Amino acid sequence: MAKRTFSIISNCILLFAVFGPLFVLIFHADQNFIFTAADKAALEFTLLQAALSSLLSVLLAWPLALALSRRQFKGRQLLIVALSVPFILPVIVAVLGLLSIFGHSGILNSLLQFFGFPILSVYGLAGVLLAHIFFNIPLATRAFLLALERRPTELERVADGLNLVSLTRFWILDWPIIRFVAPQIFSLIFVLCLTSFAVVLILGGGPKATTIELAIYQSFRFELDFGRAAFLAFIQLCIAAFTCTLSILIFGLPTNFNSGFDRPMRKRYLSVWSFFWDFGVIILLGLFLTVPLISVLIKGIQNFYLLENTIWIPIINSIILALCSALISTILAMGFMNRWGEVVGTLSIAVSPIIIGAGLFLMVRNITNPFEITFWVTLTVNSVMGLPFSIRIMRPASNEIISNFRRLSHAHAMSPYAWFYWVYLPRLKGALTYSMGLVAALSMGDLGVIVLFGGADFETLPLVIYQLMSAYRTEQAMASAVILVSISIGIFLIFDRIGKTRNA
Amino acid sequence: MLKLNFSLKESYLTISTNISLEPDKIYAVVGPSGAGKSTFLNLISGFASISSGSIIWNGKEISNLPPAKRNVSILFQDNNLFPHLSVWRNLALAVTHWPKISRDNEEKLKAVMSEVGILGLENRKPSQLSGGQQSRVALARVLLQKNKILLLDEPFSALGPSLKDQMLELIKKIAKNKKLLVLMVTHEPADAKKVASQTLVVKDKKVHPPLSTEKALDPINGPLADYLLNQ
Repeated sequence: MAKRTFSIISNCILLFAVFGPLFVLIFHADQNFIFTAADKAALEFTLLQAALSSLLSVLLAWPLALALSRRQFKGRQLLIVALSVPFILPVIVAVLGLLSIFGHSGILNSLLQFFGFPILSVYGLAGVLLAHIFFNIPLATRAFLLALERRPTELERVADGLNLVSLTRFWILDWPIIRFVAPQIFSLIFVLCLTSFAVVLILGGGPKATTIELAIYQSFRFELDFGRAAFLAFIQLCIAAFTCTLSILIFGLPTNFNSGFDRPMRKRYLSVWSFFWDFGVIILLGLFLTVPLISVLIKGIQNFYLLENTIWIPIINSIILALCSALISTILAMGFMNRWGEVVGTLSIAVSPIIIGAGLFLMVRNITNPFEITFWVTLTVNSVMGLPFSIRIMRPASNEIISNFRRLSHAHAMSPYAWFYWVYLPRLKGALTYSMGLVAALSMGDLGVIVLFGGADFETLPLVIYQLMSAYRTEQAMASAVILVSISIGIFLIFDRIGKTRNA
Repeated sequence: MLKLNFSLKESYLTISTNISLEPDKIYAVVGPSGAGKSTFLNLISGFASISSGSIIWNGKEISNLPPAKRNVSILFQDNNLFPHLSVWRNLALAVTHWPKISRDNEEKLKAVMSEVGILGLENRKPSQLSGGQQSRVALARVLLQKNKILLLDEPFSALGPSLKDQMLELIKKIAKNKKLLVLMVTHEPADAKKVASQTLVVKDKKVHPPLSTEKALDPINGPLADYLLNQ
């Protein structure tokens, strides 16, 4: 029964942390609010960029997944592993990288200028799309790859036997997979882009490229118009919840895309033309996904000498924040190891950090100065944001432990505490540390609610990088970004290592 | 005396019985696949609940008790040991759930380990043991629980023939020394003949009263002739 009590407590905490702020927000929403032309533009831009981002990601990911699935080459495995890196990559680092290639003084524009072409601007829709597809092509590719690798080899043999070529082959073999996976992944990316904040904050803005999320932030931070912010938040929530619910109803809960890819490759006879096409796709998209990061790394390391001693404070703040939210999120997730938890986890993707942050701000405003408890607000929001990932990671492992060892534990007459100590916790260790590593990395690189609250009292590393960028101190920003990305990935790898060591 | 008079009516399986078993005998449980042999053991051990009737052990109704209070131990087909815990800890869990193990309990553990022949394996993990050793550890675990009824749900089916024979001999010896009531599910008539003088036939939604093993497994005139012929 201890388990049940714990489950109820976690549910209450989540309800309080998510629905509390939402309720306060709705309560604050300005009822005489007039939907201005700017708001209409923001709404349109939000939907447009989300739709285009998902569409482009899916369209580009398919050829990449197909190429990776049917070609065997050195570094293939490495490339596939690298596809999971963007997931824990701090947004601001990727944006810095993209800017160093596609930005005003980036490599691409230098080349264009050299050959006498006009300079391209990366700000606005183009930049937002660029960053979103940078993050989501790998996600979509992994989803497609997984489906491709799960396809029975016999199907391909049958197709070879029938001598099916090109269009028919596509129709028989590939189309069923696309039709199954593409809508799922499209809707997932759509929701992610709908509530994407940091990308739009840096690359968007202005009347033409403001999303609702950004508009909420602006009316909160600059106009101090809480009624308007609350109203916009309400609209945003409705769209995201609608999309999420719709996609759950149509496609079911999204599947895990974390399984391994170790099926042996089969020798196949493909045309020379497709050889060039496949490797063209792999090289082009591979460059698109890696060059920005390499560029940040090189420029950042070159500029290490510019870093000031004060950088230590945000570094330590960020690490503490990351570790605490990882711990809270993972512990809370243990109370959601049922089907209901999966639903809650998926739905909470629809709630954006800015919205919860704004709601918490209004909640505590009457008690204390919200800017003085930035740490606690950020911690709450980051923990809640990590929850869906923790639940997704731990639930399958938890179910397996229960189905394998419940009987044996009953035979031992174990109390819930003994079961937890001797069986559940040690068996769950791998999933537990994976969840902690992932949430810690995500929280480490998060540039969301901290922008809303962050000030002189409490700064995180991503916030400092953002401030450096805004002040056009790009070299210093890049140097800090190298530190950020090293710590993010480092924390993730350390947890991964802890999870893989055998129990004594 | 174990008196079983119950029925289970579920969508997936219906099974009923009305039999009495001697407290210090070994019974083989034989029948076609899917007849409900494992379920029969689960009902006695409390991992499944009966729909109606009673299970009476030495005059005491036990069908409402949780598995650990029924005086019943069971060895499953697999997952008999916690793979992340050492042999020592796996066994210790049968006597205490505290990390600290008292001197008394240590001696009990040692005694049982020598009884089943696994002394010296204390610090190994189950994955570092052979199949035969794993079975011995699992057996030691149920012996430590000191229950008078031992149910074997084909725990030795993965062992090779000579290892399996050794385990059966061990079971026979221990059951005799400790006066245990043993119910052993098996698919091998030879195994049944080796250890059990009596056999319960599970067939046609019923667990039938004990027959002599010779009779029950008679390949021509016995109740399982069809099944044995097709095996």
